[in-house]
Amino acid sequence: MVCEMLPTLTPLEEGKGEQYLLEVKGLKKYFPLTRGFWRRAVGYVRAVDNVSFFIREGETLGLVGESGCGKTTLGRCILRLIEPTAGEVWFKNQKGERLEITKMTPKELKNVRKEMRMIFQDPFSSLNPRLTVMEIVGEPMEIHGLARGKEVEERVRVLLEMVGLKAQHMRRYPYEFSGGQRQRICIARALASNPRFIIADEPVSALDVSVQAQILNLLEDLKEQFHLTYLFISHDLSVVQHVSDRVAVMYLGKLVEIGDTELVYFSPRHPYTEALLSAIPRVNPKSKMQRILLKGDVPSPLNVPSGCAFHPRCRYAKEVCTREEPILQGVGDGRYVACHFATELALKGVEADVCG
Amino acid sequence: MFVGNVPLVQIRGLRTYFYTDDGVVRAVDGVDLAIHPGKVLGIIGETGSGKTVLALSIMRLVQPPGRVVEGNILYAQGNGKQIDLALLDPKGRAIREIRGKHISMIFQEPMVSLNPLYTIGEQIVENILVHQKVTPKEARDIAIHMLERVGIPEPEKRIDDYPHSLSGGMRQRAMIAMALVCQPRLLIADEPTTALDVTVQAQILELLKDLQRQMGMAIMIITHNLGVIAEIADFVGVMYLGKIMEYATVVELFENPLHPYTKDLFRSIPYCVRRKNKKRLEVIKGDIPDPYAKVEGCLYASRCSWASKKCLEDPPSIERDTGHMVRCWLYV
Repeated sequence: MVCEMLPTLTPLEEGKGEQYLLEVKGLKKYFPLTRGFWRRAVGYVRAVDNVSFFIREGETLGLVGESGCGKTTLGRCILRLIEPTAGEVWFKNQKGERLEITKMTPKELKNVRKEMRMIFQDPFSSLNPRLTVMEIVGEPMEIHGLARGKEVEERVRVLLEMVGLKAQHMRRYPYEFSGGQRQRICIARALASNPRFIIADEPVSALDVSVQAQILNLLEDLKEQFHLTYLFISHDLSVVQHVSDRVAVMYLGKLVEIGDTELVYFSPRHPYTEALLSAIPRVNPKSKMQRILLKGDVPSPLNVPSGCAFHPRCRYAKEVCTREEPILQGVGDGRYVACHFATELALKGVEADVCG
Repeated sequence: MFVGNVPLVQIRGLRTYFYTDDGVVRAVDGVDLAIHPGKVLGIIGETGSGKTVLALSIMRLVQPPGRVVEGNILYAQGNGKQIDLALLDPKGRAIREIRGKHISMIFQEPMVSLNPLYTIGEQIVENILVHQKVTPKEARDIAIHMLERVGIPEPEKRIDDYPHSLSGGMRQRAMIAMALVCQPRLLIADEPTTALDVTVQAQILELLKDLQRQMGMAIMIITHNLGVIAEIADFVGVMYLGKIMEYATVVELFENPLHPYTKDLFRSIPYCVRRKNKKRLEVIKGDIPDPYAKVEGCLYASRCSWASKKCLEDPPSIERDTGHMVRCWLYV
């Protein structure tokens, strides 16, 4: 059933031959729901459903959405930590060659993964407790044959200092560090193989406010220093606003809006984006803005509503929304929106300075 | 119900220490606070600041090796008498009368605090039967009515669901229903929205505000999210390493923060600003000190950019006009 669904290409390719660092076309990940002894598939969870976007070299793309919308699955499919069901992922490597990741052999994949790394959410479970910091950070160098013996130690020392840790702590184990320090170890490990592209999956969600600021600044500094490109996945809208050049909003496995951060936050075009932004708590006790309260929960990705997946909770929904699924279309200002009324609705963005 | 300024709960010099093999952890170290009837008190603090232990101390739910070693928790009972919760036996009859009926609590992670082996109905009904003289049938009706009030659709059906079949937001609603079913006079909410998405967080905050208005109860809400505090609180206490560093009304605190820690905290969170106004986040240097270490003088001195020699001594708590309290040498 799945094989029949060929990737449909969306108008994201009108980039006039611009060479993107990463280009995702019609990416899908369907998890089969099996039942019985023969593990017959009785349905599919469409975790990522026909997602297309690109990331320019040196930019940070923020990916936001509620839990269960598929943002983590999308991030992992790009690196093929989870095999995507369909779609293409094009990556431009160091030599400037465009490579298709989903069709790579394991050997090719290992080679390209040197340049694409991931930072995970929970610095407590993503570090092996039985390895020292030296081993954790040095491992990628050895795997990719970048350094050997004494050289590894020297490079680990440099990396640790770069991420703000003391080099003399490299013989310690992860449990001896605080949450913020562990996240720094994760970042050092990600940097160990000289990557050009980093997927940061909720890198600051498990941290305290004061530590969060340290890590965000560190990521920003490293980006400058190493000319990195980030895909920054988070559910925290103010954090994403702070770090991203462009933002993609995801709902039930699909992108509903993608565009310049400023445009998306201050003049959203999709009703879901509007509702999401209005839910950010305001750091001003005097602010009296009316909040758009979404009714109910996110529908189960097992039974995605007909037509536009957001229509049961959308306050602008019309009859056509229940029937026809809107496609992600350009609305002019470099932005793509999946809504029938993207150009008609006057939606409200965030108020500057009050949302945090 | 109350006349004048009699606080519902008056906390004086409360200390809760944990006596572990590695040393003494002073989780709550001399806290003075008042919770007023019908008002919302917010407590802001980071991990390890002792905010949860403060809440558990009021409920007398602190487990050994921790215990309340000093101080009073004066609770004004409905009949005009005050009772010191700190003196009660944590397993005794008197506190069990109050806990769950007069003062109840909701926790951060509803999946952990609901029993997975019982339906939510059974868990709510249990609470009603313990505290109220009703038949099981009546208790079930009360439970259904309460589930309806917290916005759970089809409560007659949902009441027989197990916690795992509810979503995170619905579970938190069920928790709130359970906490409020005996019409408590104080609700302690420990990070009630931290595990939830922003959209669901907004729903839960609205719900808490609504129910608070209808029932006229007091709320003590604990969170690390400044936005949540700004949304719901009337008074705010900023907690750091077991002490209240600053206390003021919410408007006063957000417009005129005094303590260096509060100021640093406000500066370190990202705000939604226009790109041209975008600035680098200001960072509080260092980490929270080790809980076992006995810090001399001001607790924040090691991270404070205003620190001076004076800060080696413990700063007094200064009360400025309009009840704005701050514990810092800068304002002496």
